[in-house]
Amino acid sequence: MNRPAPFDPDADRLEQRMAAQPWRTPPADLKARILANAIAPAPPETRTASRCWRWSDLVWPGPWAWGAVAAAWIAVMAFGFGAEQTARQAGTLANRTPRSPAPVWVNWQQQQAFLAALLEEEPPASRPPAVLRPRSALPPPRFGLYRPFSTVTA
Amino acid sequence: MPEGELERLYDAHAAALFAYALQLTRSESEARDVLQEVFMRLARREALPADLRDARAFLLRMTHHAVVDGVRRRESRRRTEDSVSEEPGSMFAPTSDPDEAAFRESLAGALRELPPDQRAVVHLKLWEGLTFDQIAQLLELSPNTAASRYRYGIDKLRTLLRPLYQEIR
Repeated sequence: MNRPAPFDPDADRLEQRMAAQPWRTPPADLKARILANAIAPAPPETRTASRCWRWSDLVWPGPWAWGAVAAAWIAVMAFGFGAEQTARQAGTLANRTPRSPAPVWVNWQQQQAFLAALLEEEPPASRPPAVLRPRSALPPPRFGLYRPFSTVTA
Repeated sequence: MPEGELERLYDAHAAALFAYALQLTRSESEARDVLQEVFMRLARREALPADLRDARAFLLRMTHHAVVDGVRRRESRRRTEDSVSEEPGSMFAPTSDPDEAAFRESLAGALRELPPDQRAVVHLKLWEGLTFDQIAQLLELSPNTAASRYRYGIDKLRTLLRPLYQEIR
């Protein structure tokens, strides 16, 4: 059935005997079936299936790992998209309501006055502005052990 | 490729391709699938390459790739050992001579013990008569690797078939 193996003087008798053993031939009905399948055009679903198999071959040998990575990416993208939509909606609502800082400030002062009246206290005075003073005007250190360095070394 | 050309190629080479696929897969159903896959791929081609010197080597290479693709596809479907797909039955042609039948049975069993890479080289050398350079080209190996795989394979076969080997020596 096969091409006869060329005579090899180095081959021992066992190799020669093995080479002389004929292999099984393909079944007789296989030829007609193979040729008919080879000539017939592939149906669309077969093409899709073979394409799917190529994809599975591509991600071989870890299809589950690749699937998990893809799912994680989809989840991250969905989360990002959702956050972006939420921020956009919030921005739209903020644009719709007119900003009015003055009434808010008035409301806050009214609330403070109301709280002070409840607690029978004076309303909190506004904090005096910080005054920048020169360094020499700063109070001396509270501990009285400070001596100049020159007096220590002398 | 025209149907007539496909049929000519089938008549000339199908038996050798089937034997090689049977050697590698050790399963008749898988060898059938491989043969079908090879001829499907051939049918999609316009023709064999114009500068092709040895159509048999080209087709054996296609068969080898089809076997490898089939193994990968099987592996991606189910993680089973190669031995699960192994079907009982001899890989060689049946014979009425009991001595020959016993030898073929022992040889088939010994071949099953070889790793697939050694089995491929042994098959191509013994039953296809290819040189180590041709085998190296076909399997994309260096000639030295092909020769060493053949030597390891033959040594293992000789060990496994030692009783018979002593008889026929």
